[in-house]
Order: sequence, then structure tokens, then C-alpha cells
Amino acid sequence: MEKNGLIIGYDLCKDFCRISCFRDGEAEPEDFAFSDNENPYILHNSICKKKGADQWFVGAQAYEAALMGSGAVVDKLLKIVEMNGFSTLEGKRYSAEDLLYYFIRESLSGLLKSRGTNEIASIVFTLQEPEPRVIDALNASTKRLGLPEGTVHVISHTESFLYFAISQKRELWTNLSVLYDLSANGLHYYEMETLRGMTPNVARAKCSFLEDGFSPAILSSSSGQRLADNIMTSCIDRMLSKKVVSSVYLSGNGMEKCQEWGPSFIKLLCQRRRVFYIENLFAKGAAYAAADRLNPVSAYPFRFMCKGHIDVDICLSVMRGSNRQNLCVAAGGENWFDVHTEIDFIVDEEDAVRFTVRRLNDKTDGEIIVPLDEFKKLGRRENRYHLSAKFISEEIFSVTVTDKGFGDFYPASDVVVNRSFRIGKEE
Amino acid sequence: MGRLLLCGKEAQHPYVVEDLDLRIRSAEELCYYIYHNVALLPDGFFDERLLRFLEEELEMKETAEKIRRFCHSESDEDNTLYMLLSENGFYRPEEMEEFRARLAMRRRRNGPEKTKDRGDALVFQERYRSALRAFRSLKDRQGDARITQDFYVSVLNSMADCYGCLGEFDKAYECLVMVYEETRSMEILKKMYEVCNLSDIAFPDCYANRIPSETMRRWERSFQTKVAVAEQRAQENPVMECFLHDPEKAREELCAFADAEKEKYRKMLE
Repeated sequence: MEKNGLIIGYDLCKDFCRISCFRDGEAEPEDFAFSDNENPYILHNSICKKKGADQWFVGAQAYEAALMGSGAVVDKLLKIVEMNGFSTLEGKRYSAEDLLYYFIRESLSGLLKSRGTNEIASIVFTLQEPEPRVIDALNASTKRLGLPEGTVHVISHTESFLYFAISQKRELWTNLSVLYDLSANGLHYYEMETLRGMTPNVARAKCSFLEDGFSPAILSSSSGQRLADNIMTSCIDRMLSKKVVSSVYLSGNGMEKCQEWGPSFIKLLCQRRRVFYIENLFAKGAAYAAADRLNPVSAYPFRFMCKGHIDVDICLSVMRGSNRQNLCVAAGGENWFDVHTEIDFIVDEEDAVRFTVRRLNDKTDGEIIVPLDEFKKLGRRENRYHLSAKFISEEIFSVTVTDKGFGDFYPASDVVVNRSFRIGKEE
Repeated sequence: MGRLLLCGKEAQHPYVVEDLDLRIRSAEELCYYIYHNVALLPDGFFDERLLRFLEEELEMKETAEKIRRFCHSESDEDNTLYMLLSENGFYRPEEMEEFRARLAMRRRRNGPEKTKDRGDALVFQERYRSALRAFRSLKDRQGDARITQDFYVSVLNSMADCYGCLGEFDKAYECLVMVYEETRSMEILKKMYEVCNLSDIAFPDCYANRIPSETMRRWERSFQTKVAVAEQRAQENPVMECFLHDPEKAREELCAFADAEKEKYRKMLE
């Protein structure tokens, strides 16, 4: 990978995006200012195509262009991608993927220009809840941008927080690290802890949506602010009073002026805890993750576990040449959507593909068996099979085996075997 | 204990074995070809073309390097063949020992015997024209001290089989006559009788008189049975079934069948 290029964390939310970036060797990621407006670090997820030209505007410029009559604005891009929608601009149909491609291209162009480079060494997109359709669209868009495979990854906000927290000074995560994020999506609570005594050590994070949360819109009135202060005070008292917390982070546009509207909860929070407001926390965390992806092996001495990460190792015993070895098909700690193994194999006196499933928590072993008796050729060794194994959701592991024949010697059949297995997560 | 053998890379540009019109795309196919066609492996098998294929197409650079370093003579070549198959792990230890024994036997064969083995291997692959070329080269070397009369007769017998499979019954008959004149075998006489029945060659009286009438009747019954069985098999061909019961699908199936048979016939004639 190009180590001289930019290392980018890209927070893609429902309505806006944020970017943090640095280069290899720099200590901290820097937030990118899209404009010099009141909220320079936020870019709204809107796009506008200039009439009669192959020129695209994004964010506030898109709205301005639309107001000037230069084109029509399309916003809520993430929703369009999730719904696999499209938009018709100047009589031409643009798919969700097209729109996302243009948006990402324009949003990154300013950054690359400001940093004087066209090279991207690694980029990690972080989403509230990564969904397969959005992940596929991001991969397709970045491939279209010319970013090589392996340069682009997607993580959840939870994982992003994990990376951010664990990248701070050790004293800030010796005990719990927590985060309250307040935005138009509501109030989310994140918690990160490290578990020692396991091999390797584990850093675990979780997220919960607080039902008793509120929208930042209520902060526009003084009564709303008082209510918000009361809610936060109650939350903190309930959630943190019995926990040993090393650091508390506040993020989201709702928390920007929390010292003004929430004096009570801030006072409670700061009792024996270190509290930080980090505006671009998820983008920064994604940038740390992007930097770590450049290393052949993670530089963090932890296995990261959070929602979306599988908590099992899945292996397959194979012969490589004359040596038997365990092929790792899925490693615990990986994001489920990153698991994708493709191999070709030949069967010798076997009637099934047998995977070993080992739970990370208690090291118990199970087995997943994909029978091969639908292939009528099992008696003959000279036949190549293709195996594709991946998770199709956090708990469903899917295996597909296809007959490839044996070159000019024996033709392939049409038989395809597909099996899915539920691999429940341990509580 | 069962095994799952992890396969290597598949080649973009296959290695072509011209004698067999074969395209090899993987290390596993290469090992299979070597294991089952020892008699067909040419001298100097490990040439630059093969080594480039291993390096560039299959990404087996280390293996190619080893071959370049060690393969200098015929015995080196046998050891190298063994090494290549061992490294791949496609064949079990007992199969590798059997392979080693076949290599050793091949090394003990003289030139004409190797050529005959090559011809027989080509017959097994239904490459009758290629097989005939090998057999004819032996027939033309009848004066060679290594070619005994028995050996010569077996070559003629194999040639007769090839001509028969190609439908060239007159040539098959000629070869069988030469074999019979040497051996006076009743089995050969029976073959001659059957070839005449399949073609418009008249079975000469000088041979017919040597066959007792009961034997002749038995041969006739046996031949008719063979014809009936062949006709029955033709009727039971799935393509024929399709033709009779599903005319819509028949055309498609017939085209595919015809293509396959044409390909097979083309290979026989190469």
C-alpha cells in the first residue's frame, strides 16, 4: 500500500459527513474544514449537478447552486442508497451508487487538493450501523475512484469509538471509557473496556440508543435546555454512578454547547472523571483505524470486539501440498461483512466439508458440516470444487460449493450446494 | 482418513499438450497428466516452455528453480517428475510408490518398447491416428535387432485394432492377415471373420475351410449378439430417448451430442 498517501477517516451519517485525516508518521488526525462557515467540519449529504455540464456540487454549495437555478439538489443520499433508489437529473437516470460516487469524489477532492496530493493510502468509512447495501455501494464507488482493493474498509460507529478511545493515553482507558453522542439521530451511549487475562487481551465496546434521549432541536429554547439538562443528569446518575470511569467523551452537534445548556449534568459528569468534547470523534476513530489497516498485523495489543464483530474462529482442515494445516476462514474480531473466503479444493475420500467453530469466550469447539453428496462425482478425486464462505449477517454464516470439473479431463456439472448456518453470539 | 486438497492458482494461458490436444490449467491437472501418461511424456519434458508455465502462470517459482537446478539427465528427469508430484500432494504415498515403479520400468524399456508403449497409450486415449504413426514407425524398423517377431506381431495387432476403430476395415484386415500368417491363432482368425462381416470384404475360403462348422456357427451367433447389443445401446442413448419423447429439447441435445462426437472423431484422426 502507498504509505505516503493520506490516511482518511470518513464519518458518513444520514444527513452529513465529516472527515479526519493524517499521514503516516503524524501523531494525530486533523479534522478537515469543508468551508469557513459556522460549521466548517460538517458537509451535508446533498449533491447537485450543474445544468448542461458535467460538474457536481456538494453540501452547502449544492443548495446554493439549486437556489441559483443551476440544477436540482438531491439530498439524504444514504437513504437513497439503503433503498437502492435513483434520481433523474436532466433526463438522465443516476443510480444510488452513481450519486454516492460523485458525492465521495467531490467531498474528497477538496481534501486532496488542500493536502497537495492525489494519493490515498488507506480510508475507513464509519457508519452508525453498516448495512450490506451501503457497504456494497461504498466499495463500488471507491473502486470507481480507482482506490485499490484493501485500501477501503467500513466500520461501525461503535468500532470507531473503540479505536478512538484506545488510541488515547493509557490513563484514559485503564477503566471504562464512555461516550455520549447527541445528534439528530438521538442520544447514543457507548462504552469501551479492556479485558485482561485473555489471550490476546480484548478491547470491547458496545452501544445503546437511549430511549429517554432527545433531539438537539429542543435546545433552541431555554425550557428545552432545562429539560435536556435534567434528562442528561438523570442518565448519568443512573448509568455511571456505580461504574469506574476513566474518561467521558461528548460528541455530536447537540453536545457542542453543552456547558451552556447542561451545567448540572456537566458538573455531575466531571466528578472524578475526565471529560472531553470531541467534535469529530467518529471520523478521528476511523482515521486511527485506517492507519492501523496499513500494518500487516494490528499495532494494538488487543483483539477488538463490538457489535458486528464475529466472536468465533472458523477454520477448515486442508492439505497444502503434503502438509496438513488449518485454514482460517473467519477470525474472531473481524467485522462480519469483511469475512469472505474463496478457495478451490479437491476432495479425496471425503463426503463433506467440515469447519471447526471455536468460540473466543470459552474456547469451546463446534462443527459445521456441508455435505457433498449432491455432487455425484465424489468417488473420483479428479474434480475441482470452488468454495465461497462468508457471513450474510452478523449471525448467519453461508457456504456455497460449486463444481468446476477438472479442466479438459472432466467437465463441470451444474450442481451448486449452498448452506447457511446460524452462529449465535454469546451474551 | 479423508482429505481436502487445497488447489493452487489456475492459469490464464494454459499449457498445451499438442499430441493430446490438451490444455492444462493447474498444477493438479499437470500432475494428473503426468501420472496417467508416463508413456507419453517426451524426452526433455522439463523444457523452457513448461518451466515458464510453472513460473508465470502457476506462480510456482521455487519449484521451477528446483527443476532448473537438478534436472540434467534422464534419471534426473524421473526424480524431478517424482519431486513435482510429491510436492503437490495430489497422490497418496502408495500411489507415489506405484508411480516410481512405473518410472523405473519405463527407464528399463528400450527404444522400440517405449514407442510401442506410447502407441498403446494413444490408443487408450482414442488417438488412433497418432497411435498408428507410432506403430508404423516400428513396422518400418523391422530390421532392428531389438524388434523380435513376437514384438512385431503385437505391433501389427495393435495397428489392426486402430484401423478397425477408424472404420478402415481393409487395412485392419491386411494387418490381421499378417498376424495370422505368423501365429495361426484362432482368435485372430475370428477377428478376421468379424472384420469381413463388418465390411464388404469376402472371407476367403482358404481361411473358412480351417474353421470347423460348429465353431463357425458359434462365431456367427456371437457376432449377431454383438450387433444386437450395439443396436440396443444406440436405442437407449439418452439423446435418442429425448428425440422420441421430447422433440423440443431434442434439437438442442442432438446438436450438443453431434458436437461432442465430432470433437471425439477429430481427436481420433489427429
